[in-house]
Amino acid sequence: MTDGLNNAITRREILPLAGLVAGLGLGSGLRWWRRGQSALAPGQGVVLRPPGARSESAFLAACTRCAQCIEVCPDNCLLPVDLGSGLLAAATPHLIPRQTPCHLCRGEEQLLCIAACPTDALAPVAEHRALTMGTALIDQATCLAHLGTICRACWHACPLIDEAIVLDERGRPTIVEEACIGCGLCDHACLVEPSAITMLPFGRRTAEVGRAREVERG
Amino acid sequence: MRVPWTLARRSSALAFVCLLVLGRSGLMGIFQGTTANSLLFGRLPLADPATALEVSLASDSWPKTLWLGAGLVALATLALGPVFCGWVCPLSQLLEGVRSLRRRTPPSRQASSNPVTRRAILLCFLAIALVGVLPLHAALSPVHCLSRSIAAGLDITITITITGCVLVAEFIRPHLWCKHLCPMGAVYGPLGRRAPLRVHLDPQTAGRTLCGLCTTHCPAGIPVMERFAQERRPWIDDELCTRCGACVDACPKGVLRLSFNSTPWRQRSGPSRAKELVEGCSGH
Repeated sequence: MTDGLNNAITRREILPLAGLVAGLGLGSGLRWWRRGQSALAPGQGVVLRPPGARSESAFLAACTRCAQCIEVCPDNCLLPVDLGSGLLAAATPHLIPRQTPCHLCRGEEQLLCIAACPTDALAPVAEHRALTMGTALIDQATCLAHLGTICRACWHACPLIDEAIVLDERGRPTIVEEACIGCGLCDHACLVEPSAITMLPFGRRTAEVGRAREVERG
Repeated sequence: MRVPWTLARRSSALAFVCLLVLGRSGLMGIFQGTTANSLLFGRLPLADPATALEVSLASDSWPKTLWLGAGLVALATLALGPVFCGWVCPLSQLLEGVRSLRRRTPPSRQASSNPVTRRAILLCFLAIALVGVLPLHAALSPVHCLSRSIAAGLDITITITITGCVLVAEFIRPHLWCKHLCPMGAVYGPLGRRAPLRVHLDPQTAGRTLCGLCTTHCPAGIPVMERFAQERRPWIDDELCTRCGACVDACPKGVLRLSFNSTPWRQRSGPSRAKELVEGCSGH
């Protein structure tokens, strides 16, 4: 009787264990394949992520949805993503610059949302210039300056004045994609309704910097 | 006068809800975050171990702050038992409310003390995190959703949908969420099962009346006295026991005690008290 009992117990214990080992092996294989497949192009998403966010997929993996960044933002810029952007992105933070652009904590050395994030969903950056929230895009068909009026609202609002937005000889603003960090202050400042500036969560700069960071991480 | 454990527990859960709301207001120095992870007094990190593990697996990194918090919570659970479930979790309070709408029925004598399903669910979520590179539980757990909604007014729609489903399920089948589904409990339960803070039974007097009040009042559905009658273990050994003290409050004879102190009754209060209790019970 004891033999039968022992057998029953060992079989009972070994089956889930074997299942676990097989599952883990299969899982790590799949993961390895998946990681290779998605070279984690930054800004795959459709929403603007807070400062310090890396690629969309890496951000979604590391964000615990704890809302600490949303709670600490001094200007209440960060908003939770609603259900419309998909169930899996729900409750993660994002920016709607036309409503509330990122003021970069008004000159603070360390951005509060990055400091509050307990994971590396929002990772510290060397300086504000290295941020990659997105890239501004000017619609020349509605921009007042491009239509011939004198308007420098976006140029004045830009925290990287004459670096990310430059004025040409006729006073028309142009975005320098390599320098734009995507804070959205220009979008917020635009006088035209709807705004002549669109904030794209992707762009040449975000792609380059993001790729460099992925390489750094290995 | 002794404060009833249940009152203390309701106050504790209410205090946690107040902390969550404080995070939303300007007083961020005191508390920020949700049940997934939080920061107390601006420096003390706290994190749910299950969520921390899931996020770490998904993101392939083991962030220090998160794991310091998870470690602190795990230590507290090792010392105090799965107190998060009974004393902090806002959802468990709602579920208790739903159960109180039903007539109290004693659990069956064979009520499982071995919640396997929730462990399997935890493993599933960890596998999804590992393979899918996505912390699904962190995003959709009704506990986290509820605390997010309280803390920051986030995703009210999701919270109402998910929490509503859990509440309705609870009404149809009591203890469904906490006992069988919650992956957080699957970590807290085994971690805190043998914590020194336990409900002790007085072996001298336990089981004399079999009024069953402890069993009917147990929010986890543990057949307290029935199991004692079978196993004669002088404390409640069950990973579902959240140290809520409802059985202690319910017992008219003072047979149960929630404390770190495992000294038997006799040595503590002399044989006369045990005798007195025995007589008191047998008079019933």
